[in-house]
Amino acid sequence: MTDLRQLARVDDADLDGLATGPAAGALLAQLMTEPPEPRRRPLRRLVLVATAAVVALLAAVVGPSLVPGGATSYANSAVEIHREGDFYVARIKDPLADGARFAEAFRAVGLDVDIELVPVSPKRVGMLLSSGGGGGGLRGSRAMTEVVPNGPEKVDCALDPSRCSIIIKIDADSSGWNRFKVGRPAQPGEALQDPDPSGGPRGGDGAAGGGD
Amino acid sequence: VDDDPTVRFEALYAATFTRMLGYAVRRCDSPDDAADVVAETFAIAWRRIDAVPHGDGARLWLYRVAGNVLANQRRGALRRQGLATALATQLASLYEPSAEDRLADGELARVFRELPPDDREVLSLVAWEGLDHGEIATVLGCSRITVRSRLHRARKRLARALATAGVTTRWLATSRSTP
Repeated sequence: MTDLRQLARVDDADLDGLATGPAAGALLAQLMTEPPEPRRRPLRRLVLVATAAVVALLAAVVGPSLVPGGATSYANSAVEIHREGDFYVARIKDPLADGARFAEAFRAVGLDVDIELVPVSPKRVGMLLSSGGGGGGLRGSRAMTEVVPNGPEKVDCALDPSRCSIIIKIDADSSGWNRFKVGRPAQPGEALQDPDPSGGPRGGDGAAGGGD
Repeated sequence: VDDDPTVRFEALYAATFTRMLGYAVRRCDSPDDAADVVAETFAIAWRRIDAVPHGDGARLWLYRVAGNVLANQRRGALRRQGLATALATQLASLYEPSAEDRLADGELARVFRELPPDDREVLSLVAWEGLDHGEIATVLGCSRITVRSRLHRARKRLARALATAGVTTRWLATSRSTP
């Protein structure tokens, strides 16, 4: 394949000087101004969209109180849940569905999770607004949320929420009872329940924060 | 100490920056695009530093991420972040073809550019990144057998296209003798 090598614009060896130059150093410094995500997860399809990914750590409390689930995936008309590595990934199919439909799906995969979706302004759609739980024990539970286009096309989910879904990822080894309140698009005329920027929403340490 | 994300990332960056930059420069049509791909690839690596494999696997993981970033860029889904403008400036000279380059940019280049993207991808991972079948399988997320057959088909199509273009069969001989 030596012939194709001549088509390369550069060889890596030609770039050695750049790696130690000021531009590379400046980029490194800029990248590291944001903290890394706190926990390992397997490389999945990269989602480069306007994403509100929020992490909530709740110092929850646990006991062996879980309904044993058994299934690793479950779907009903409200939500579809499947396992991806260390997480259960729930795609909200019907943001207006009764909370019991979400709870039923999570219990089927062995998680005691309640989801409450509340109407918020477009930029807060998909944001984890509060979390809480209980049940006895020490292990924390984590959830992350994002908003992703339903199809392969690029969509600005803040502008066109009907073409996007809210995704909630929850630690597969969560235990105890956990409750997450997440923003959904508002119906016409619905009162918004955006979090009060001064006082944090009730019931969780980890809510909100910038979504970007 | 090994698990300190800052230490790990700085070491990863130092060890792989040149390779990732080379990967991007060879595939992007402008210095800005190349700088963006490098910046976004390492931004993802930093955000997910705990997911980056230790050892040599890190390099392949980065190639895989860079491939996804590049695909997003080609679909117009990569936001220009301006993180790497200084880097783009430094790359500009690489994009000014010398007279010598223009001479070399003949039929082979044209034929190669006209191959299906999947063929170009697998051929260039061999020719430009010097990866073997197993490494390419990791980067592309497929089996070695798939890599082998993709390479085989890509080489056949390249050979056919070169023959059609009247390029001497010397190309064929060398391109088929690769392990």
